[in-house]
Amino acid sequence: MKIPLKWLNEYVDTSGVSPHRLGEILTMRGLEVDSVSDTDAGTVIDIELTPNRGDCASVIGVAREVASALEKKINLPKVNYESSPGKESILLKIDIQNPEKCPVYHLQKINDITIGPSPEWMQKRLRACSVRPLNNIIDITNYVMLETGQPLHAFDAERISGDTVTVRLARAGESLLMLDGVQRKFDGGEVVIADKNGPIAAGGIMGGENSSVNDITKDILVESAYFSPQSISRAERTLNVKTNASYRFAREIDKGGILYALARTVELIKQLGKAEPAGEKLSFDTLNVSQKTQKKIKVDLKQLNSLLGTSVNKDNIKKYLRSINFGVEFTGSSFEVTVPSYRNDVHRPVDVIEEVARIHGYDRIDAKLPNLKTGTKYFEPRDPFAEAENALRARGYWESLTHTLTDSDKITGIYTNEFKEIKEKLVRLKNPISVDMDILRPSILPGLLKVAGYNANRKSRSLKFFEKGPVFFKKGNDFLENSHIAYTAAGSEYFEAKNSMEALTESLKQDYSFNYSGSSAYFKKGRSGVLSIDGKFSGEFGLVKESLLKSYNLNQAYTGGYLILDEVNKDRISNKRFKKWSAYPAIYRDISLICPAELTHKSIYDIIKVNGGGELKKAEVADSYIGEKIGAGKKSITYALEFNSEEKTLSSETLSSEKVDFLIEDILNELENKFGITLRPE
Amino acid sequence: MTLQDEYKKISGLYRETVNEADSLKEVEKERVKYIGRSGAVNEIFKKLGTLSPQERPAWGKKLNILKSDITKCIEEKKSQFNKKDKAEDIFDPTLPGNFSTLPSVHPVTRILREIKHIFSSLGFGIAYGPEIETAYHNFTALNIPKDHAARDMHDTFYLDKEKNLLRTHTSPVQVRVMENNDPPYNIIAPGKCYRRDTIDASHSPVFHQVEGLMVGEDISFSDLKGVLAEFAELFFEGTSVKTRFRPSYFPFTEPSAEMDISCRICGGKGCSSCSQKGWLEVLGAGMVDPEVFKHCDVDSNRWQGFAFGMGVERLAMLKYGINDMRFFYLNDMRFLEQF
Repeated sequence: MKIPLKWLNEYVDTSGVSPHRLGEILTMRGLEVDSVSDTDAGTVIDIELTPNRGDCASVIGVAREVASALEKKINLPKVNYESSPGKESILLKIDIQNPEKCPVYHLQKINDITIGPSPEWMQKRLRACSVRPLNNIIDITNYVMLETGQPLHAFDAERISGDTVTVRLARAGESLLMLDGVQRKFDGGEVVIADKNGPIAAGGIMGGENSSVNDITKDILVESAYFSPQSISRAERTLNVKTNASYRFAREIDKGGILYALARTVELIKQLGKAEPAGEKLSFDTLNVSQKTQKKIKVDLKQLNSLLGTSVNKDNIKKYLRSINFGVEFTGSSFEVTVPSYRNDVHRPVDVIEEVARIHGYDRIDAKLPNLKTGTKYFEPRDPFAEAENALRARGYWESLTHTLTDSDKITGIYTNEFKEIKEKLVRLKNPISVDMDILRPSILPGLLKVAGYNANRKSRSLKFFEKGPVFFKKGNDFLENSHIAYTAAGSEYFEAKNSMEALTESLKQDYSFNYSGSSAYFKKGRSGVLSIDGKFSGEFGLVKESLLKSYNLNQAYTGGYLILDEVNKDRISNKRFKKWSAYPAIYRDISLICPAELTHKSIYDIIKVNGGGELKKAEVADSYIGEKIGAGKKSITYALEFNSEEKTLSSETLSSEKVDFLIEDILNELENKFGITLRPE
Repeated sequence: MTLQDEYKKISGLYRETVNEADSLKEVEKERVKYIGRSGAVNEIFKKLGTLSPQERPAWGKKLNILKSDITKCIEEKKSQFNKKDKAEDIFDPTLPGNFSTLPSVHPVTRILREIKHIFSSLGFGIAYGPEIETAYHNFTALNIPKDHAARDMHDTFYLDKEKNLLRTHTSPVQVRVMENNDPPYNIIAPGKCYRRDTIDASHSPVFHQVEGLMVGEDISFSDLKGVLAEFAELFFEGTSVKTRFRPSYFPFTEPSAEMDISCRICGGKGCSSCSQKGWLEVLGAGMVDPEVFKHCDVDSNRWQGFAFGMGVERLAMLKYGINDMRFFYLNDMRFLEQF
């Protein structure tokens, strides 16, 4: 809201207060001054109005605040005009069909106007307020709107068909070419002003081209009305338009100022358009605002001071509230407040308390630290997943943060027929801003691949990234938000992905296993694995599929993985128990095996594990070799075995060497029986 | 000087003076000085006769040890000078090291952790809520009715006609906390939010907020000021940051306030980064509106308190002097490695 200071000074004297200081005073009263600038209409301050202060969307409204802050008197322009029956009887009628949306409607006819430019001083002020001057009539209605906050509209009386101006709801499908040259279609709920042939204005928003004032207009109808904020907000949305008028109606206008603004308009037209009102105005008024029923609110002084943490006394309350034209009557320790009609935002005791705080000054309220004891339900002694992030960072991964909104075209391409179940669960936005941000991500990986690709193109040496965050799916009529941690590394091979996944699960102390036979939407078959925690699907890792790389224009190998944090057993993180290690020395044995080259470590390991008994603590691959020395189709693999026992046995003090030999014999027998595996000759 | 005193003096002195020598010539001088024919050690030997016969053997031994220690020390020093001449011993300690460091966390995460840490130390718990919210929790329960100008402040992404949406702020978490628990409350709620803003230097459709809620029987506006000023002081540690509170409007608080901090560039005098105001907007706050309590079934005659909300990217921008919001989501290594 732009306020030229010279204009403001017509109503309240600000001499002796610099524009900058005035800006500060208003800012500290809740009217935040964004800038102070010089125009050909003098200095203009620009106020960023909060939606509750519709009353300050006018020079007079701001003048009232200034008068209160500077403890000055306010002088409003006097109007003498009284509507009275004229010589010419009015042939027109008004018909208000939806009084709940338009409870007050006045039309004043004015005949024989002379259309021309408005005076220079008025044009300057309009331009300073970002309103384009057009002609004297339109300029006057705009000027009075800026002055009083009441939007007004002028129709060309001769261009109205029939004898009735109707205020009704638009019918679905009706449309109107409006003053800005845009043809808009009504959806059926908007208030329109209509004549015999249909809409001539979108009520409270903008007039139609078909009834507009132009160079040859002679007689006009000036409208001053009240349109309900809800209906205007709704129409702004359905018609996709905001105007100076709709801005004010949506924030609610001063019900007590509708006639004042009309009178002020008529007076200015008399002066500048050299015309006379023709007959009595047409009026519809269900609020009966001419006899304003004023709001009364009862406030308890103790409650006021308790909420603010202050000790404001009766005299101050009276002084503060009277300065903004509130009536104050004390009875004991409570007081009754009468609110002026333009303060639509004040209707509860707490609203009055805010007014007191505002005028008292927030800076005069002491700051103290509270003493509050609450339960510990929401206390977070640790971030349960911090260790997972650290595990990836320790492996050289940088944390990144990508948009959770992404591109449906690219994403749906990932989920081929085999994964169409995921495609069907994607969460789409109803009203995206752009096609590349039209769904919520089902996976963090594509975003991370883009980040790695972006940095690879810029020759960065660090090309490992991770992100922790939500992914989204539909679930019946509801939605599912899962928490994932995902990672990717450019120019890496399979084991980078596997090692990182193990680092993650180990850092979270999980009981997990891998399966290598599944197929994945993201990772290459045979170079990927599926993670299970406590037997449940909990993530994937591997070499990123070529099709996925292609769709993100990546030209080297990428690996990656993701862990579903919702599947992590948090108990294992928070309820760790100490376990004493064996007091006895372990026995170490290596076994070197010759086996078929295609036999996997996992098949051998499973047999070693089962046959090693409880005493086998570890079986690690020490070496694996394929080559001439071993023979075609064969490989050699060496396991380092560790045996131990926590308890003394009956037969011996500790685990005996004989017992270990016996266990190894079992392992070797079973390996030979099952896979024909033999010991490698020394 | 007695033999004992001289012994003490020499044995305490020779290492220092030998090591100070900066050429082979100097070392040779040292050798003559200590163990030359008429060097200090031989001078002490001459005094052995002053001791009793019982003491003599022990001191003789001691002096011999001293002599051989000095010899060793001098040989070592000599070898240092000799080594310097050999090519394989040339060493350049100024070559760059090959260190690796833990990659840092994203600045938004870092700021979030700092905020959580500060409020935890002030006794707040941490609550979370869904990013896909209902219009009821995001708007209605927060006293933002349908077709109200206040909804314009939030340009919203919808997932369907008008029931489910992407939360436009973290405030619905206060509603969920109040719905599910009895007062008092003392929580912050960090998380992602969404607004239908076109991406530019100061707007991002996805951003982060931290919401706060403190409700008790006598939590007042004065406490609001105290807690938030304390936060600002801890967050902008080491800089003498001033705070000011001014009236504002949020549908879910009354009275409402905005907290500004003195501009960190100009210190409050007014410059281009604070649009000549001397102050920078940091967060919004206010006393919880009775309407919100009503929606959550909390008796506003007995309970009162404050709520606040702050933009995490904005705080990061203020703290680190970042001037473009897009950097946070670009993840350029040249950006990430600075934190």
